[in-house]
Amino acid sequence: MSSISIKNPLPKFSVKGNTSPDKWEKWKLLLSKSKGETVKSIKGTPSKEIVFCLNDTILCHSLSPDERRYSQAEKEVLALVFVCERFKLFLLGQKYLSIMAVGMNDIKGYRWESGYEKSWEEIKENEKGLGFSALTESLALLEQKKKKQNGKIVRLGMMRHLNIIVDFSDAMLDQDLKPTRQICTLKLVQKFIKEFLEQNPISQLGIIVTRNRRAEKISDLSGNSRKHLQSLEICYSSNYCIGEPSLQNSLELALSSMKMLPSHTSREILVIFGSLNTCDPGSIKDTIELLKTHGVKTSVIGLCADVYILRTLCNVTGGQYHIVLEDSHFQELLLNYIKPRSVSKDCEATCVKMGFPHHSEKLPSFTACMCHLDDNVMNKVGYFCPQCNSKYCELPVECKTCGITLVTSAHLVRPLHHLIPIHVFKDMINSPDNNSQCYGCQKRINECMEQISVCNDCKQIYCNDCDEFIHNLLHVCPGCAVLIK
Amino acid sequence: MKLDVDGLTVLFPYEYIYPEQYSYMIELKKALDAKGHGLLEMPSGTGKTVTLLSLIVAYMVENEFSVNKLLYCSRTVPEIEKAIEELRVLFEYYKKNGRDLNFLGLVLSSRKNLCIHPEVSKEKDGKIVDGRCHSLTAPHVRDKHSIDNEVPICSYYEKFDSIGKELPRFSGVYNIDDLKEFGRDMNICPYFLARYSILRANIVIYSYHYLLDPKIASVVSKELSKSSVVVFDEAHNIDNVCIDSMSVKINKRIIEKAITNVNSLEKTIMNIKERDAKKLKEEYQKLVEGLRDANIARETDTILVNPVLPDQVLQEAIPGNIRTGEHFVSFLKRFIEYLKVRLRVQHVQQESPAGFLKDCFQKVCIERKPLRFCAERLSSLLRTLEISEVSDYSPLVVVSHLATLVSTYTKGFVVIIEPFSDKVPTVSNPILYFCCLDASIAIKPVFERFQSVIITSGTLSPIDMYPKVLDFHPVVMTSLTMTLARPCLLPMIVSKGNDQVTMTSKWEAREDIAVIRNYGQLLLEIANVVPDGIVCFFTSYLYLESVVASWYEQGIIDNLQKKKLLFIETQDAAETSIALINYIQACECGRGAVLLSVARGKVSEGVDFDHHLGRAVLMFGIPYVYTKSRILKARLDYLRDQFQIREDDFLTFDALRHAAQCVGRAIRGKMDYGIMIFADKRFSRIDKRSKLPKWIQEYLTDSMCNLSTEEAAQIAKKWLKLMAQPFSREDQLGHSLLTHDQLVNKKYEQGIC
Repeated sequence: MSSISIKNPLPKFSVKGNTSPDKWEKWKLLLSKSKGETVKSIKGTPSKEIVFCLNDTILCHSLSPDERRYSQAEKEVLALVFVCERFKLFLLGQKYLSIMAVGMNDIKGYRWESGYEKSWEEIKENEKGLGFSALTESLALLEQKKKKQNGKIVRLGMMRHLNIIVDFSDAMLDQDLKPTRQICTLKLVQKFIKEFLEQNPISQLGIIVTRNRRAEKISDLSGNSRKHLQSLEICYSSNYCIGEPSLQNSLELALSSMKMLPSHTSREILVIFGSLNTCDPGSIKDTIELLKTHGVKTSVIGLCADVYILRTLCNVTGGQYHIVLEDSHFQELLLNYIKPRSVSKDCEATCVKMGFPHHSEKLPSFTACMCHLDDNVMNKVGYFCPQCNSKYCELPVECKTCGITLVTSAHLVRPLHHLIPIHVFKDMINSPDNNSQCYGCQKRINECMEQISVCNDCKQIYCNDCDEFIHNLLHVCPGCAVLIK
Repeated sequence: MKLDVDGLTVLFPYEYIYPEQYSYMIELKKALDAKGHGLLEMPSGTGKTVTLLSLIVAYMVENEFSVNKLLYCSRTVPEIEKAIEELRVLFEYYKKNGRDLNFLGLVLSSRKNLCIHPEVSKEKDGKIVDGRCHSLTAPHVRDKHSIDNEVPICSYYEKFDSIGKELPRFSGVYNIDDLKEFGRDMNICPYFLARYSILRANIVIYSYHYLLDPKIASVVSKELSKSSVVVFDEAHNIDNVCIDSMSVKINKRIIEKAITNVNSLEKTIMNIKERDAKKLKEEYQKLVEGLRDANIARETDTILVNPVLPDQVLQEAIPGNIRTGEHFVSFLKRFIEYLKVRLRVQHVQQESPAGFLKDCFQKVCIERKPLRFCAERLSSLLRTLEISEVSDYSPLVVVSHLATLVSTYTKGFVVIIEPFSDKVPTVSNPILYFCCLDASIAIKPVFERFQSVIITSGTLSPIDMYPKVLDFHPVVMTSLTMTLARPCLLPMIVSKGNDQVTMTSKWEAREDIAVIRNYGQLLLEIANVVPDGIVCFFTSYLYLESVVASWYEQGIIDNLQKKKLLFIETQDAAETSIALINYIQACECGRGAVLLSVARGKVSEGVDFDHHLGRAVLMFGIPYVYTKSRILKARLDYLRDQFQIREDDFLTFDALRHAAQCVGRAIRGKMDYGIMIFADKRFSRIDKRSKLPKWIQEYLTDSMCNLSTEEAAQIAKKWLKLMAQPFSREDQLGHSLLTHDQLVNKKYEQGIC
């Protein structure tokens, strides 16, 4: 492993990676903040280019023939410079950043554990003569479609109650997702929970697992991500996965906790299902009908193949059914559910009473908060419910005494970009004599860029990378924001 | 959409068309233009029926005089119903486009499906319905009724008889329920109305048997006009249907019953003689004059009509020695006695019809000529004696058919007498087979009579065998493939297990414990990755039983049941249909199921496993027909001598068309997808592979042949994930689904125009 630090012009970077140059293409670069928390992952593809992923944004730099001849260290530095150039706007002002490059081999496990990979079959010639896999192409197509649909205005359910049902039957021990379906699913679910509650602060989430023909609620509906993550820890042991799953039992369990919810909330179930069959005590069709009458939207992410009953379940209840192709596809599918879904017309629209408690730092004495009653933890700080004066140490939360939802105004504002999505930029074919700069990264737009986009409102020009970044992460057009000021 | 097919304007009732449907139309039009016969293969699920109907209807509209009738023959009642619904859609589309067709399209089915008589229609068995209908509508019963009101008759038939033939010619589309409703409204018998109306209808949809079975065809279809187009859909088994319709099987029970029949016949004759000797005399007179005009317009007597007789025979009078009733009865008695003696054999006998006749002459002095008239004479006698429960006499009728057939045809038939049946070789159960060896005999009248006969199916490969077997010269012979936007079928040839032991159902290897275990292992691994339903086909019931028994010992059944429920097809039709219902339920509720069935069985022919009901089909071994059978041997010899078809070629042809039929069950449309696994090493040989239908071969690349169990499971797993990705009609547009504009463009591209 080699390590490089650069003092200037940016505070501190480090690049770590396998030193053999031929492995360069398979490298995965991890761009991380302090405390080892991953913000951005960067990975390489088999072609002669460096690809960086910043959550959903993909950045790509093709190596010129000269650059291809660079040594290992030179390539690494090249990557650094490239990243810094492109992400300049977002890196400036950070205290310090470290970029780590991790060889793919470390993650993959033993070669013989994986299935047959006929990578040559996936390569297809397109009109540009480049080898592109049919799979990535179709995914890219989907991405484009999704982008197109973004502009539509629909009514969204913002107060969401989501029950996640995770299958922990023996089918989850399969190794087609790395390292196993179980571990991969758990990691992604944890990530999902964090992101979900961050982006939907007024929503609630619960976790149900099904295994050995039973369903078990491991975490009640709540808005506290820490508790959920903690409860998931027990699922990591390898002998946790046993027996067959029971779809009916778990759906009924989920339903029982959602039946009593007020009608303005959006009730959702997300099933992550690895098995091909379900072992049910009764007729599952009745359960599906019940879900429909209660207006519970059920979506399924399947890990292996299209199962009829799951498809019916989704079709009847108005959810979506997707099958995972590989781990990155899995992540993408899962994270899609972070966005609020549209709700049906007959869903009631009412005013919801909410409390905005103030944070009081100096209390006369140590008191216990409602969320840690059992733990005997006392402290002086906390939030007080404006209605009943119960004390809580974290927001958002539903008051245990009077049932009111306690939030801060920031929580309400955060999911706003779902309601008022940023407009889709107009695509423009770049003319070779264009001398303007990208408004996002200040990069000169020259002939090597094929497509550029223009914001309809402020008429600023953006390169493709900035376009994706703005739409997927920033949710605000810098040009428009400046104009308002 | 409005299409231009080689100069003919065709109204196609859908907005989109598959490219292969268009090519199919072009081929079909060629055949119609040439007034010749055609042989067309197009995969199931690509809309064959609607293509056929829309082109032929358009052709009929344009060329009123050259083609004025379409006879569309299908195999089962549901298929017939489906076809008539397509026709309805087409007619409505014509109407929407302002061209009201004054056409009549209707279904003809058996009495069992069409009867509206309050009591008779409650019967479940087709034969009983026929018999009871006959007992209410026979001319003598009606005569009796006119004297004595107590004798029950069918009021619906009476109404038909009085006004049915004068009804104004109506148009539209009538399926079975429409006909029944029409019948109820008018108080008229729908069955006889339909049978009468087919002469005037433009489009008739009915079962094969109305054309191919000479016993029925001579009554129902004989007056159809020559300028008709005949279509046989799902016709991959047409040669077997032809052969079956001309073959007779007689066992001990039939003989015994025939003897009782003859005795009761004798008694009735005695009775009548005492009471009403005049009647018998009248009949005698009629017989002297000639036979034909005696039974003209006896439309209610369908059960008793004779097999085809050459025309010149019909001109002759009935020989003197069987003209009187008593003589004929004693003649029959002698003949039955002779058959009884012949059945008393210890070893298998095989002889030609000529040899049989000669032996018959030597033993009981029965000549060929009276034998020929046996069936005709019997039907005349039964009519004269006014026997209303004709179905009771069916054993005797079978014997009379045998007599007529054996004396009429000398070529292409064989008589085989077996002392034991194949299944239980220890119990004496003698059977006399009178087998037709030549499929062309039954279908010859159809080819000669009608100007265009189209034979079509999803699986006709190898297509060049059919003209040979059926002895005709098609002007069009094409096999069309399926254009697909995604590879929605995955054929694989699995030839070895994980332990590298070759998988085969070869006679020497099939009982090998390693082979059976590998088959089990294959099923297990496939069941692990395939959702919902899996259908397996074995080569025979015997093999299925022995394999399941050893799977049970090896613990494979237990493992399998952890994944999916297991259902087995048996020879009992009722049991099988219960198994099927439960299989479907298990697939639908998410439990998953495996159905073990047999190629050539009921499941392999008539049941569709679309979408989740059949995500994978496994073919364990090559379904060769039971080669030790004498009938088959006789047929193979005949085919070799007459048509120069090698035994091997025919056997492979037969086996592979059944294999293709089995695996084809899984794919019933372009949105559907399914895995097809051929688990036998021999499939990868080029002589077998090349005989599979073209649309399967296309996807059976070299990398899909000769796989091991594990490889197959891996490929299947990956492929299933890909297939589960969202796929909509828009994805097909322009590639495997064309709008009108795209079609026009494509035509220019390919230079068809």
